[in-house]
This record gives sequence, structure tokens and C-alpha cells, in this order.
Amino acid sequence: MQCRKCGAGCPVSKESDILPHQVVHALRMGMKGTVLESRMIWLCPLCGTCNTRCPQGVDIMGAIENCRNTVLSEKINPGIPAAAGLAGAMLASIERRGRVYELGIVRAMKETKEILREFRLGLKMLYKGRLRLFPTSGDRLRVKKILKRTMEHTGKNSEKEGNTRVE
Amino acid sequence: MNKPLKIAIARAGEGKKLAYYPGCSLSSAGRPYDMSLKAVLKHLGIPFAEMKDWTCCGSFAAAAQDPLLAGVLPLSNLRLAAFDGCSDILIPCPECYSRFRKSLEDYSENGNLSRKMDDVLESHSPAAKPVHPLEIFSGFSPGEIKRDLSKIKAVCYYGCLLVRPPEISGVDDCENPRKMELILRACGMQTADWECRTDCCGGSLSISSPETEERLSETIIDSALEAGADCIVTACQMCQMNLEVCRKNRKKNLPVLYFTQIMGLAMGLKPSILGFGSNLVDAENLLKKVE
Repeated sequence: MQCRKCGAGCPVSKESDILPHQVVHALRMGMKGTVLESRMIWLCPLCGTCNTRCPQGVDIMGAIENCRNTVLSEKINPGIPAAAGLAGAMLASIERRGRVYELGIVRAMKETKEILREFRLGLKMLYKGRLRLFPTSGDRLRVKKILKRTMEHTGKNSEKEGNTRVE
Repeated sequence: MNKPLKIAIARAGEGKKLAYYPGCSLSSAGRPYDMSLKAVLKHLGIPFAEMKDWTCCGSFAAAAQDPLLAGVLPLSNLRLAAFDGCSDILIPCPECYSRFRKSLEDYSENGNLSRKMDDVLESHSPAAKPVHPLEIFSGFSPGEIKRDLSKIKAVCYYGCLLVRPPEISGVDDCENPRKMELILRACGMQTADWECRTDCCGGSLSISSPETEERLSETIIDSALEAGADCIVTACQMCQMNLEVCRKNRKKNLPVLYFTQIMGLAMGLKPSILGFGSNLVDAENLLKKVE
């Protein structure tokens, strides 16, 4: 029996294949595949509406982020490749510069014809200073060290899928 | 002067510096926010020190990869700020702010994770306290109002990350936030109630799932126009950008401004130093009404 307050408030329910309460239900039933292969876990904008409204305090956002971890670490095909790709592109930028370089992300994510379609907007953004032509860098050494040491820890970490905490 | 502002200035006076963490967006996509926030801080005499070597908080990307990484990337910045002598760190970007707060929460709640985080960072040093501009300026009143903003009606858009989840970000009430409305009214501007105050704009879906984001943004723009708004006022650069460039607003041209730009206008600062030149939807007509 589910109250479904989460599903009722979910902003992406129109486009999603499964709803937040279905994510929780599937995980509790052991139907991992349904969730891990879903578009939902990548469509989720992590708006927090579900977590905030759940009367039982179920951490649905946390479950969704854990599912993303599993999809990436076990190399399962992500339900929305572009979303997983965006995360990857951002991490690559962080690794390289310690910061996210937006123009680099756009180049990595969008096909040339898409970039050309928005060319006028892009130029306007550059002119108005809303897009940097060249990247800046933060403390790259510190970030490289963090990434290396994190990988050493997480290397053989056990999977953590779909934690549902009922409080 | 309101209490949070008094506290901010007092702590600055005690030699406890306020660090400023722009994050990856503020110097580009969030340029008007960065400019207006700094202009307002300087005008109010609140000293701050922009971090030179800051690095990305990791955002949702690090969290998608690894919760340990999602925890250490923000924490390393907090410890760096504290090391530089700053007790508090001003974080205008709600995504960053949310990630910083979550990192501290996870650190204090999960002993296993905190040990790993200390090990990755090879330290156990103190961390600066994350603060959002809406917290410092809560209850702000400009004193003498230098521009008449009374002919403008604004709707305040809070979005998601500033108010949810309440135990992490909780800058204001999660279902009925009021802080921005109170600031704007203190500045003499009209505010209207409307439906979409805490609705999601789609965030990064503008890149990974644009059709969904367009639908969400369109709903927000429609709702603002229905409420008779002359502009949308927000405190998040992701929201501001999404609402400015969505297909609906390219037709409607509803200005999307930052609450710090309004504060600056009320205090008589020049629009050019408040980043109005960087807004993609022209606010010229609006500015003409207040000069």
C-alpha cells in the first residue's frame, strides 16, 4: 500500500517510464533491472519534492543516486545516455581543470548541427559574458589527488543499490 | 538593519572573514548574479575574500559516479576556506550550496564515510560554514530607497535546491518560502502570489532532456504572465538561465532578474554594475520605469 505523494508531485512524471513510488516498490520487490535500466533515474532532476513530501521519510533521491552509481560502475546501458554522458563530460572537465568548462561540455554533448542551430544564442551569450570562451582552472593538483585517492577507496567497493530507509 | 546582516558584518569585524565561493557557473552563466551580489556586498560594507583556488563541488556528476567523491570535493573547499582563516563561506549557487551542506551532513552522520573522507583528504581539519546570500540578507531593508520600484510587479521564483530537502538546504520554508518576497517588498517593489514558486525548472535537463525542460520552463513562464508579472526574480543561476532562454520566453521576453539586482537598484547602484548588461532578456523597459 503506497500513498504515492512522491509520484503525484514529481515534475517529470509526464515523460518518465516509472514514477518515484514505483522505483521504491520495484527495489523492495528485488526488481533491480526495472529500475537500473529505466529512464527515470536519469530523468530525475533531483528536485527533492519526493523526499520532502514522503510521510515515511523514504530517501528516494538517495536511492536514485545509488542506482546511478550502480549503472555507471557495472557499465549497464543508461536509460538516457545523454544524461550519463553529461555527468561523464563534467567529471572529465573537473579532472582536467578542477572546474566545469561549459563550452567544452556543449562541444562534447551536442552534435554540430545542434550547435549551429543555436549559434545566434551562443554568440549572444559570449558577447554578454554568459559563456566563457576559454576555461579557467582551479587547483588541479588537489583535485587529481582527490580523484586518485577516491578511486583507491572505491575500487572494489560493494554495490549499494536502492537504499530505502523507512524511518 | 536586520539581524542576519548585522551578524555578518559583526563577524567580519571580528576578523572572521567571509570566503566567497563562486562555483563553476557564477563567472559565466550566472554573471549578473555574481556582479550584483558583489556590488551589494561592497555597498553594504561586508568584506569578503573570493577564493582563488576553488574547485568544482562535483554537482550531480560526482554524486552519479561515487558518493565518496560527492562528499570530498565540496569538503576540500570548505577546509581550504577554513585554513585561510574564514569561518563562513558564501555560496550563491544553490546546487553548490546543497552539495556543500549534504557533504557536511554525511560527514557528521556517517562515521564510516567520514573516516574515508578524512583519509582521501589526508586531514581532519575544520571546515568553514556554508552560507547562502538569502540567509545573510534575510529581513533586509535598504534604509533610504533611492529608486521608486513600486510600479513593478515581480513574482519570486525559488526553484528546488534552495528549499529542498529542508534538512539539507532549508534556506526558507519548503512549501511556502517568503524571504525573497519580503526583501523585494522592503525595496518597495510589488510582489504577486503565483503557482510555481517552488516548481522545478528542469535544471540540467536543458542539456540531457531538453523537451522535458522546455515543458517545465514554459509552465513557469505562463504562470508568471498569468499572475501579471513584469519580471521573475530568482536566486538561482541555473533557473535564471533556463527561464531566460526557453522557447516560450524567446517569444514573451519576460525579464528574469536576481534578487540582488533588485536590492542594488533600491540602493541606487548603477544597472551596469548590477549585471543588467549581461541579462539575455532585455530589461530596458523595466529600468525606464524606475529611473
